[in-house]
Amino acid sequence: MDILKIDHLSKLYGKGETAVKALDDVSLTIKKGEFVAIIGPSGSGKSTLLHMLGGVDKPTSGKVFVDNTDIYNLNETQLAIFRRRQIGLIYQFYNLIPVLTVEENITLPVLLDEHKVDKKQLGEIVKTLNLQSRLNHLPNQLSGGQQQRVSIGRALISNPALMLADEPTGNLDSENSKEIIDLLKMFNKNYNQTLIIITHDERIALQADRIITIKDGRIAKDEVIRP
Amino acid sequence: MNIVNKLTLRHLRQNKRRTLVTIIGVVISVAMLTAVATIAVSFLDLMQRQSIADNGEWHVLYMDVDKEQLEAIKNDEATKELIISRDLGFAQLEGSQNDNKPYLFIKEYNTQGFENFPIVLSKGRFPQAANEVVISEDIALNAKVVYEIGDTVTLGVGDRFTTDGEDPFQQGVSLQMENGEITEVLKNEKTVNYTIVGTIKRPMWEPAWAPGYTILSYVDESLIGVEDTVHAAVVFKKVNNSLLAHAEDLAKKNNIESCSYNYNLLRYYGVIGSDDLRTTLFS
Repeated sequence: MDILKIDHLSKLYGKGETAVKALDDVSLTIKKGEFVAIIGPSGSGKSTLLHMLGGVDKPTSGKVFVDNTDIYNLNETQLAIFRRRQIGLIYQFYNLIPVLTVEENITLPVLLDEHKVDKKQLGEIVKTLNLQSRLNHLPNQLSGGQQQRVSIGRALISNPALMLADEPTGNLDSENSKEIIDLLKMFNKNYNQTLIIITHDERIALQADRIITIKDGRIAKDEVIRP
Repeated sequence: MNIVNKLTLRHLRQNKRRTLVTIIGVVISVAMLTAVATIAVSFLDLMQRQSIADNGEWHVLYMDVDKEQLEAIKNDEATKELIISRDLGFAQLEGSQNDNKPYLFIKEYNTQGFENFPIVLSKGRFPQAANEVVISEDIALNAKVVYEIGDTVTLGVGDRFTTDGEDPFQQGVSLQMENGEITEVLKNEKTVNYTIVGTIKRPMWEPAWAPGYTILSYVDESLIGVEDTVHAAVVFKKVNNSLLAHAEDLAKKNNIESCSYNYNLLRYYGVIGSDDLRTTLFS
């Protein structure tokens, strides 16, 4: 079952002679539960593609279907709600809210939806991420690896259809990097969570089921490593 | 508490100096905006009051209307108050010590007129019948002719003409003289008896060069004849830009030849007759 379908997606920044084509007619599909790594040189359009998939930025042309919903057919409010419920985003620099505790940061998408937090689910996530003793800490009281684990928790709390990670280990040492990738892989395997990860690290990419190489805004290579 | 409110409160608490500066900024901004708005509104209010004090409270003046036209104006949906006035004419003021002001100028108002025009009673009361008058206190102070409240006067009221002229002079035109001799006369005189019921300060609309001292009588709407004409000043219920078109339309429908607007007052309600001025102000 396809969880994500990208149809002739293009993104142009600027106008006229100074226009830069960040994405050029990209089409692909990703199945539910797949672990996909997107690699490519700097400026090749990887992050732009991820932002398009996450509904963070609007494409110049083309369509993105997440779980059969054309996300750019939604209005701003609908898209914000969709993003909150169906997309889990993990950034290189965590993007945690400094004045909220670990627990509040993790449950933020649910609280923004004004829903009640499922304590059982929160407990499971916190236990898996090994953050039980840190729930009342603020982000600045945590290490980089712990902060990234909090951001993974935040991405997972609403059971999203898609998990998107933009260089999640880019700011971590090798030990923490391994720990984070192992966690992501674990969620991918155990919960059949679809995971798309952008990385420069070939070792991380090789752990994925599929590697997509982006170059000059186009898909240069799309190889399945583990069918 | 909602997570957004919680987040906001924590940010405010963590950045105390910025919060304080922001609060002060907001307070100052609101105070300034309120002050500016209050100044603007109270200035307009002041100017409206000043204009009413100087020229009376009226918006549109329909000139020389007959009984039927008056009824149409009175029944118009936009009319809030109707002021009826009539310039009856001039009468000789016997014994006037002021050579340039030998007349009495007789004007009539209905009750609304005495309320809406800046007429200041100094003694007695306003007229309540067609045979009652209030007289300007300048008659005693300037012309040195003394009347008492309760006195009855018989006046020959007519219009001012030069010996060979056809159009009568109004109160705003000074006494016509040549080589120290008066060159005008009163014509079409009719005799009117009045009882003096009070004295008033000299009205602001009586210019210093006017040849007649103002005396005011009462116009009884029910006594206006079919052939008589009066002036009808109207206070509108709603004062906005549609007022001008409405008044013109009413005048046109009822064959009223002349209507004028109290722009001295209307401009402070934002009602401006001149398209050029409106373009200058708002474009």
